[in-house]
Amino acid sequence: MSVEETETMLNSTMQMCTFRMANRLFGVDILDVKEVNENTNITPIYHAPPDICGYINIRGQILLVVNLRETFGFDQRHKTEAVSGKVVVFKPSVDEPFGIMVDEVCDVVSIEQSRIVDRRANETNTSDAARELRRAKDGIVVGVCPLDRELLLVLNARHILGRQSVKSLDGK
Amino acid sequence: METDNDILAEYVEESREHLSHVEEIFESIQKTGEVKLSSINDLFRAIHTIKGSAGFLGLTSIGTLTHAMESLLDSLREGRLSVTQPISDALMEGTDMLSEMFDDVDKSNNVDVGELVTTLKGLNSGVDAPAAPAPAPQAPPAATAEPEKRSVADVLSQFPELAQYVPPEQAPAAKAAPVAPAPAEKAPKPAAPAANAPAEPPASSQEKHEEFLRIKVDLLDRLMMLAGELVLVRNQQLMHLEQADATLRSITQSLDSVTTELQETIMRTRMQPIGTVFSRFSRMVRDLSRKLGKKIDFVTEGDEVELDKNILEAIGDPLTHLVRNACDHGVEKPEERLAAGKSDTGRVTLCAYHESGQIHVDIKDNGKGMNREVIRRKVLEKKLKTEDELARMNDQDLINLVCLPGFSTATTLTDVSGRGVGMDVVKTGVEKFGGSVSLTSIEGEGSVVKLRLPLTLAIIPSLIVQSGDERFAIPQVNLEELVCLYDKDAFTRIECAGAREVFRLRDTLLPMVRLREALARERMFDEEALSEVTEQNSEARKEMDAKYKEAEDSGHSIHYSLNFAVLRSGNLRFGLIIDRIHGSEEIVVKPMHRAVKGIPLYSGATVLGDGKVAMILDATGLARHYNVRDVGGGKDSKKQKATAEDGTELRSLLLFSNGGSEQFGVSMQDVKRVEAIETAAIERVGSQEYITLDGVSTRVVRLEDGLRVQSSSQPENMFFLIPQNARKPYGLLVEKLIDSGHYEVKLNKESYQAEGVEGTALIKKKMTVLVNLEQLMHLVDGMWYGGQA
Repeated sequence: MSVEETETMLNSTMQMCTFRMANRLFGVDILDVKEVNENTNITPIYHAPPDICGYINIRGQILLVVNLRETFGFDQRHKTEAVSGKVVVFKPSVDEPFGIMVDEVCDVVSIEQSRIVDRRANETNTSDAARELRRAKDGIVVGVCPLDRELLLVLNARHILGRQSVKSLDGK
Repeated sequence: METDNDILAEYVEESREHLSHVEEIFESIQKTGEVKLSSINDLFRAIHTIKGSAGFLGLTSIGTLTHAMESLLDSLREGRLSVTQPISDALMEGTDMLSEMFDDVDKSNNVDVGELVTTLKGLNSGVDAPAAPAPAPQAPPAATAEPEKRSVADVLSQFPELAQYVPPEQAPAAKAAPVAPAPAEKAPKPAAPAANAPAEPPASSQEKHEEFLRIKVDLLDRLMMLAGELVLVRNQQLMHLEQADATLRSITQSLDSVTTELQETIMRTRMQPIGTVFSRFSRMVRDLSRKLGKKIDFVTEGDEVELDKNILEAIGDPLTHLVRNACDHGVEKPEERLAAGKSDTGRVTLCAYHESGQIHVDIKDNGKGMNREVIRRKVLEKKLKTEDELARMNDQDLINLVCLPGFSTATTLTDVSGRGVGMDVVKTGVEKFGGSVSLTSIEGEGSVVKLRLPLTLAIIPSLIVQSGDERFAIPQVNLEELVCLYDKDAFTRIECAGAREVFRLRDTLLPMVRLREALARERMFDEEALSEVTEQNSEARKEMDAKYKEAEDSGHSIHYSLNFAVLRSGNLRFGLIIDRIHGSEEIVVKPMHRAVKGIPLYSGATVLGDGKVAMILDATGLARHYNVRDVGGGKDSKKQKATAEDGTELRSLLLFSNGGSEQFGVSMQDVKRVEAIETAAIERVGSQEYITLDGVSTRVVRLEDGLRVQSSSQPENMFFLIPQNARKPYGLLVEKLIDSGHYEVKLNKESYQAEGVEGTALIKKKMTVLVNLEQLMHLVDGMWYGGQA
């Protein structure tokens, strides 16, 4: 095997930091994750889009917390309501400091990139997962990866905030 | 690998530094009037370094010019020439031209340096300046036609006299060839490697230069953040200290002190002396005075006062405006000055100093001051205010009118100033970063503009308030006062005017904003929403009223309270109703996250002392969101017809008593703030009394120290008035505050005369002694220092 081929092989497996929200398993590239933090002391930002939980303070740094449940439309928990408190914090290379609120942090899973199915290819599929995917706009979900017992929804952290910045305040 | 661009950028950066050093030297020469050999050496070295890399990078114009300057400096250094006015002028012109070229270094080769180079050459060859034009006509075409190709050496060759000064090998080196012309230097020290060089030759650098290191601001910011985190870790450690043993305790204590020191040191890395900004003005004043035909001395004080880099950058423009104003509008022409009995040379002073946690910068001139009549006329002419409004203004208000947008008194539009934007721009510029501007002016004697600037941009004093469960920070600059209404007042004093709630604050109708409602509604308030809120609250008030009455009837009482903060945004004032007031805190401002930046209510976020994040409220955004408009022009005009004929004047006063039955008053604008203090906290040192406020020992002045009035009976709690614009920390101790507000004052200067007293007036049907705080302080101060032997 040539060196190049070995490299592509190595590149093709990626490690995912997985977590649960509303009983579904999600994963983000572990290289994008800075830390997992537990913090329930959220300061709400009034007038912010509904999927923004608010600000938290992590060691003197102010961090925006996003509630992906709201983004995906899982359920209508109010943003000021106390949430589990587990926050997956992303690295500064991903975006301005922010994190996402999750229900539970799970294992680190190694998957081969080739096993991630592009969601667009699955568009005709009518499974639950696919419907959710369609709801998640603008490429937050890059694809689905079948694990042993369930499906892993692979998220791209770089796209989570992409669309929110344009959201204006003209009411609902 | 570094690209050419990187190298170029680095070179430009370095060269700018050298140039600013060059300018500093010129300034000091200008100031002291003497030329030291060491300064010439410094100049030579700086110019030489710039020249070195210019050739290497293909910047021919810069190379040509610096070479000419260098040769001239070399002659000066060797003592073949002595410094004359034309020489220093030409060198300064060269410096200016260089800095222009560095502003756009890519196009620098298109800049025509020929003429100046010829002048420099002429000067160097010993020809006096007036004679210089003679060879000039031939040279410029030569040098300008193809500046890229034409080298200095060619130009040089036209001046055979020069040959003796320029060693043969230097001519080819000066050709803007892609080699560093370092060997050309026939300096007494080893040739500096010119290619990439801040390279101060070690031989001379020891004497005065401190060592500097260029550091990326990013890195400093990161350090600052880490220090912040360290502080939090230390705080946790301190919390757990109780269980710890003695050794651990002492270790923690040293950790504590080191951390504090570390943080302070890192903070200081961002601080730079204000002199760097000041220095550029002496040049400007000189140019201006020449252009305006005036004689102006320029003096700076407090050059060493340090300010945050960001603020230094931000005050450059406002200061330029102010200095220009002082030269153009302030200082008169020599003949006018002589006619007014002053010396023909005016003086503009820039003075910086620390005071009460802020930096003050005063711009003073001893010119003609502001003519009130002219201001009045201009304001009327431009319809900025009505006659009626003007009549109600006191002197200070009148002066402040020059800060109105669109105001300009310059009768002719000069290219120096007078476009009617000046003071307005200064004011908004300074206020934008949390500073303030105040003006004083004595007609015929001059004007003073005082700037008050925060030490750093990142830390601002603010008031922490609460609404619902959340705390918010309101920047102190927006805050005018706090009002607390108790019991009955809480539901009777807020009235409805149309769809909105208003409060009558000392004859001013103040529109009210309820923070809770503003937060609850995302949509901008329209009439409908406003009246809904107003209705709800008037219902609530009725309920409160009923409950209160009920409780009163049954013999016990309920207590209500309502707090609001009076905020100012631009010319708009409004009351912000909040649930609780927590007190003031110095907060570190963090900008809003990109995803939530568009929300007008906030200007940023901050971490409070207990670690929770709080939003910083933006007064302007809040007012806009709540649709606040000026209610009825602000004042109840019917009451306030100032009748100037009989000498009655409307003044805003603070009334107090000093124990006895006498009533005193001071002008509100002279009072910075009022503190409630305990008399037990007053300490005596010799014959003087002090109290510590915010860590500053403040001199206590009693009324009876300066005036012959009844002494205070020394109750446990007293009030302490801290005067505005005081250079020394002191305050006036008074026993009881009576009231504050606008009163019609007919000043009587005859019935009670004393130093420190303006006069007396009948206020609230009582004879009131109006105290002049500043005079009183002077008087008492004088007695302390002078009178008592």
